[in-house]
Amino acid sequence: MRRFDYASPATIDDALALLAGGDGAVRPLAGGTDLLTLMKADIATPERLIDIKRLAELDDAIALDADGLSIGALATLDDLEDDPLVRQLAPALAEAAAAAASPQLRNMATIGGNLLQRPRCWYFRSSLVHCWLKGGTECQARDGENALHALFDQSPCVAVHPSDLATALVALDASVRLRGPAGERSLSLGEFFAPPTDDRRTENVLAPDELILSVRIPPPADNARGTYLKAMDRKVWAFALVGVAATVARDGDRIGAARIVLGGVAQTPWRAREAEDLLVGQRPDADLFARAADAALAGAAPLADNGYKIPLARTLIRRALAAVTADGAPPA
Amino acid sequence: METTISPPRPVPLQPVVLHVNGSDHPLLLEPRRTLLDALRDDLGLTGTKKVCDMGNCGACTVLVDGRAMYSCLLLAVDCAERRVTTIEGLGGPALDPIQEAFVAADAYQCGFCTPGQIMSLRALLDAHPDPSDAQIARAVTGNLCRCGAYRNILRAGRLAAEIEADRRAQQGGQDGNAPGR
Amino acid sequence: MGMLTLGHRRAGMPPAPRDVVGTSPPRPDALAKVTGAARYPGDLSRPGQLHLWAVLAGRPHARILGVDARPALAHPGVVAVLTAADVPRNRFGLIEDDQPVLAEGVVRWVGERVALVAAETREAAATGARLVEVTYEDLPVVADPATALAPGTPLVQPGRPDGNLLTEVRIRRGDAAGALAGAATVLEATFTTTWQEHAFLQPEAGVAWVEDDGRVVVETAGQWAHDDRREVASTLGLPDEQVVIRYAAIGGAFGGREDLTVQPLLALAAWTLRRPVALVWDRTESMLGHPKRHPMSIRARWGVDGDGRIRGVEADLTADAGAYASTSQEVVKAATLLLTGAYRVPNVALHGRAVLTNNVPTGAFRGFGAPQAQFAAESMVARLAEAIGDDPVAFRQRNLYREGDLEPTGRPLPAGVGALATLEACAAEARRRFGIGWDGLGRVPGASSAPRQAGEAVPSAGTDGIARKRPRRGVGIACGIKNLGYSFGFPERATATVELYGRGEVERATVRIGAADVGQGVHLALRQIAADGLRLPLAAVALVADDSAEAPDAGSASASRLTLVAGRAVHDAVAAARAKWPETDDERVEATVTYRPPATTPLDPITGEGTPNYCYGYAAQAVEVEVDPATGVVRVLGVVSAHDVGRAINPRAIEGQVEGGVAQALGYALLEDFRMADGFVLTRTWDDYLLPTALDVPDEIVPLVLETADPNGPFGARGMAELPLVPFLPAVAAAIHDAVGVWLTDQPFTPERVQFALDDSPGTSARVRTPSPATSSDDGS
Repeated sequence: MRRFDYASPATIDDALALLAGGDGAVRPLAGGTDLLTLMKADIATPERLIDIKRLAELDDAIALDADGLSIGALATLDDLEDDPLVRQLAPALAEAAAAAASPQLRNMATIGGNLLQRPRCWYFRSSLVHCWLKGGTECQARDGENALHALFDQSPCVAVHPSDLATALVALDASVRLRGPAGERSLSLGEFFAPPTDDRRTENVLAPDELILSVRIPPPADNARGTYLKAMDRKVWAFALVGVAATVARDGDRIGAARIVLGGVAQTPWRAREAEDLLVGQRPDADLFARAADAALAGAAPLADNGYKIPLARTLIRRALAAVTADGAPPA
Repeated sequence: METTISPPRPVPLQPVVLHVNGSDHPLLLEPRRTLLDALRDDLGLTGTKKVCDMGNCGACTVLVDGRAMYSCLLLAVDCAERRVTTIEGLGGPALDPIQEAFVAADAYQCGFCTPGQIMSLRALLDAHPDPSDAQIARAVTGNLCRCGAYRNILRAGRLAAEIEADRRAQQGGQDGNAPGR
Repeated sequence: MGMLTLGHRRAGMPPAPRDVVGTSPPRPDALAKVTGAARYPGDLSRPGQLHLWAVLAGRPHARILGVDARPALAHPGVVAVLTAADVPRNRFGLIEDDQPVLAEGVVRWVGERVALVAAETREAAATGARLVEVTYEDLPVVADPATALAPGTPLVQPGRPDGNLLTEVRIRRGDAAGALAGAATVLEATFTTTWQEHAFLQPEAGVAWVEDDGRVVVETAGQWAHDDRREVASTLGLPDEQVVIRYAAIGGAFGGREDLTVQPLLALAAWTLRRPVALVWDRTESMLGHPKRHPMSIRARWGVDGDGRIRGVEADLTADAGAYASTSQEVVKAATLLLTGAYRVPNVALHGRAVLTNNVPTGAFRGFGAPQAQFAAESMVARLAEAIGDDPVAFRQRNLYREGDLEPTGRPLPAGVGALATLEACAAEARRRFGIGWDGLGRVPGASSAPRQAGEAVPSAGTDGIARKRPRRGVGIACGIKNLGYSFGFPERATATVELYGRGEVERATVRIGAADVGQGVHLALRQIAADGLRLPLAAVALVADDSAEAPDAGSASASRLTLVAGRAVHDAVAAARAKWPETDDERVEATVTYRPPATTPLDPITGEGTPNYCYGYAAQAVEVEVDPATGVVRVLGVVSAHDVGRAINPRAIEGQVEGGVAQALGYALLEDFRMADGFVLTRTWDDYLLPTALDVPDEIVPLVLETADPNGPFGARGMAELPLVPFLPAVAAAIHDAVGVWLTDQPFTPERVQFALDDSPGTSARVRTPSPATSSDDGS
C-alpha cells in the first residue's frame, strides 16, 4: 500500500470539510473491506483516508417508523443478517447479507460501503491493465475473458456490480439519504446506481465529497413477500454469478405488484421491468413464472463466454417467484 | 501499462495505543500499517498469519471487541480503543478448550491456517456456547485450509463446545451444591 | 468416521513389543501449531536484516532495453538493487538449469524476476521495487501450445534443438492402429485440463545470512533441502558444502515448493551484501511466481473387442510447459505412461509433448501428470463400458492390471498390483455406505439414492428435458494408478544416520535424515519406524531432519516416496546400528545406510521400452453427487476412497492425506479455474481463484485402507499421499453423467461448464465460445 494520511473527525461536518475539494484523493473509510483491497492492489491511491466510523451523527441503527425501515450506513452485514426487523420486513435483504462474503467480512463490512464497492472484473483489479473503468480507452473484458461479465450492455465497461445487498435493496424499492457540502438529498437506489460514463467512471452518482447517511426501505405492501437467490461457483464466500431478488405482493389470488432485480448481469442492479409488467394482475403459476423469466432475459446480449448466465438467471427467477408465491411460506 | 510514480510524500507517524491480549501497547505507526502487520512486526505476535493480505483466506483472523475479523483489512490506527485478541491471548497455563480440541481431533496438517480457525471458533463459542453443527461449519467458512483438514476442524469445533459445556456443567454443579453446604 | 482397514495387517512381519508402527500418536508439533508458536519462514527475522523485494516482469514476453536503478537507490532506506549482472552463475532448474535467477536481456513470463531491491524496511523495499525503471520492448506472446508449435512462431527460448517443443515421448507396443481397426467398439474423445495453483498458505519466504566461516545459510521452506542446496550453491558458484539450507515449519507444499523461487534471491543478496536478509512474497507474487499443474489437451481413442476386453489405445497428449522446463519433461513422461491408466492393453501408441509458451511455468503438483492422464483414461473406460452395455465395475474388473502384467513399456509391473483389490473394496463399500452403486458385476437396479430422502433416480437420465431440471443424484467410480518414487532412471536413494545411546541397553536414539515434513506428518512416521525397530518409546527417538548440514540427503518430499524410501533407509540404518550395538562397549554407536530401491531406466526414445518405475500405488474412488441441471451446480455428497498403502505406519496421518487429497481433488474437479489470457494471469488473488471451503468438501469421506505389503517398503509400507487426487476427477465426471446424462470433458466442472454441456450437448464446452441461445425451449420448469 502506498502512503496516505489518516484523519478521524468527530462530526459529519468535519468529515465533509475534509472530503471537500479532495477530488477523489481523499476517501472515506468505514469497513474498509473493499477500499483496502483496492489500495493494496494499487487500483486506488488516495492521499488521505477519513475515518467515518466515529462520527457522532453516523450510526448503525436499524429502526422502524411510519416511513419504513431506516438503516444507518454503518450497519454491518452481520447486523442485517440477524436483525429481527430486517428479517421480518425485508427478508430479501437479510438473505442477501447472509449470502455475502464470509463471517469475518460480514462483521466488518457496512451497508454503505457494500453499495459502493467496485467491480470484481479481473482486468479492473489488475494494476497491470489500464482499463476504461480506470480511465483508459478500452474495456479489455469486452473481447477478452468475460465469463463473469455483463449480459446487458450499459456502457463501454462490461463489469458487473458485485453487491448482493444492492440487488435486494432495489427490489425493496429502497432509497439512500446522502449528505454533501450542499446539504442532504435522498435518491432511490434506482437513481443512485448508474452505469459509468466517460465523465464519471463509477457505478453510482455519489459525489466524491458526499457521504451515505442511511438506507431507507419503505413499509412493505400488504401480503408482500420477498427473497434473494444467488448462484455461485463456490458454496459460500463468492461473488454472485447471478443473483435474483424478487418481491411480490398478492392481490387476492393474483399478483398485485412485483419487482424482479438481477445482480451479476449488468453494471448496476438490473430491474426486469418487462417481467414485472407481465406478472401483475396474473394468477401465479409455473407457466407464468417461465414466461416472466423469459421476458426478463429477452434483451440479454451475451458476450463470448457468459451465455450460461441466461438460463441460470431464468432458473433463479422462476425459483424466486415460486418461493414468494408458494402457499404456506411465511409472509413478509 | 506504467502509471506515473512520484516519490512518496512523507506522512507523519501517528500515535496509537493498541489493546492486545489485555495489555496496552503504545505505538507510533504509519497510517498504512495494517493491524496484521502491527501485530506481527511491531508486537512480535507472529501467531497471526499473513497469507493473502486481501481478506480472502482467514489466516489473519483475530477478535476485535469479541468479533472475528480479518486483521489484514483493518488499519492499526483504526483499532485504537478496541480490544484485540490474538491466538497468543488464548489459554493460559492450560490450553484453551478449542486448542485442546484441535490437538485431540488432529485438526490440522501444515498448521498455517490453525490460529485463524481457532479464533473464528472462539468467536462462535463466545457468542453461542451451544452451537449447532451448521453454526460450527458456518463459523469457519471464512477460513481456508488448503491441506483439507476441514472435517477434523469441524470435529474440533464440536469437541470444544462439549468440553466447555462440561466445564460449565461442573461449575453449575458446584454452584448448585452451594446452598446445601 | 473411523478408517476401515482391510487385508492382512502385519502379515509376515515379526511382532514388535511396542506397536508404534500402526498407531497414531499425537503429532509432535501439535502444541506449537495450536498456540501460534510454530515458526514458519515468514515469521523469521535476523538482527540487522535487510528486506528484499523482487521486481517482477509484469509482462509475458519482452526484451529488456535497460534497467535504471537510480530512482530506487535515491529512495530513503534502499541499500542496493541487484540485477542479472550480479549473479555469479545465472541459471538454475530442477531437471535442466534453463532459468535465470534474475532476467538476462529478456523476460519470458509475467512472474519472471528482473531485479532485487534490498532496503532497511519492507516498505522501503516495496517502494524501491516500484521505482526501479525497467525499459522493455514487448515481443510477440506465445500464448498456447498450438501457437507455439506453428511454423514461424517466435521461440520462447531461442537456441533449443527442437524450438518450442520442450520434450516429446513415444510409447508403442503391439499394433494399436491395427487393433483399433479390428475392434468391435471404438470411442474417441478429447479432454482438456487447465492450470491448478498449489495455494499453499505460507507464501514463499525466508531469511539468509553469511556465517563467520563463510557459509551461506538460507532458512526457508521447501521439499528437498539437499537439492535446494545444490541449486543455490550453483547460482553462487560455491561448493555445495558452503551453502546450508534449513527448513522452518513448512506451511504446505503439494509439489509447489519443488522448484526454487526465493531461495536463490535470498542467497544472492546475503552473499553479495554481507548482511542478513529477509524476503516474503505476497500472494500475487506467489500466484505468478511458482510453477503450476500442467494444462493438458488429451485426444484418446480406445477400442474393445466383442468380449469387452480392451484391445488397443491411441492417445496423444500436449502439455503447456510455460516459459521454463521445471519438471515438465518428467511430468509429461509420467502422464504419457499413464494414458492407459491401470489397464492391460496389448496394443498401445502413446504420444506426449511438453511445449514452451510465455505462460507461467508448470511443474510438480500432487499427482504429477497422473490426474490429467487418468481423467482421459478413466472417462474412456467408463464410456466404453456404457457403449457396450456393461457395468463400469465389471468392465474394469475384466481389464485391470493383474500381478505380472506388462506395462505399455513392455516390462512386467513391479510386484504388488492392487488395482483389482482397491476397486472391489471401493465398490463394495460404496454400495454399503451410500446404498447405491454396483453389485459386483452389475449396477444395483434402481438403487441409486433409494435410501436418501432428497434426490431422485430416473433411468433415462438426461433424456427428459423436464425431469432433468430438478436436482438429480448420480454415482460414479474410477480407478487410479500412480508411480511412487522417482521414475525413468532418475537417481533414487535416501540416506539415514542412526545414533544409539545408552549404557548396556539402548536408551535413546537420534535419527538424521533430511526429509521435509510439509504437513503430511512424515517426521512422526519416520520416528515411529525407528522406535519400532529399536523397541524404544517414541519419546526416546529424536529426529534431525531440517538442516542440510546436519542430516543426510533423503531426496524430496514428492512422488509419495518418503515413507517408502526414507522410511526404508531409517529402518535399515536402525538395523545396522542395532547390529553394531552388542559388539561394542561404547555408549554411542552410529550407522549410516543409503537405501536404493530397484533400478528404473529411461525409456527407449523410439519404442518407449524400459522399466519406468519400481513401485505403483493403486486407488479407487466412488462418489455420489447431486447435480442441479437448472443451475449447473454440482455438489459432492460422499466419497469412498480406497487405497492400498502396503502398511499403514500411522493410520491417522493416512486418513488425513485421504481427506485432504479429496478436498484438493474436489477443488480441481469443480472449482479451481486458474486463468491466463495472452500470457497474463487473470486469477491473481483468491477472490478470482476460488479454493474449497469447509462447506464445499463432501459430508462423508470414507477412507478405505488395504494393506498388501510392498516388497521394498519398511514394514511393507508404500506411499499414498498423491493417490486421492487421481481417480476423483473422472469419478465425478461419471457421477455427473449418471445424474444428468452428459459427459464433461473440460476440467473444472464449474456451473458454467455444466450448463454449457446440458444446453448444447453434445460436445459444447465453455472453451468453445458459443453463446447460449436466448430461447426458453429447454428451460421449462
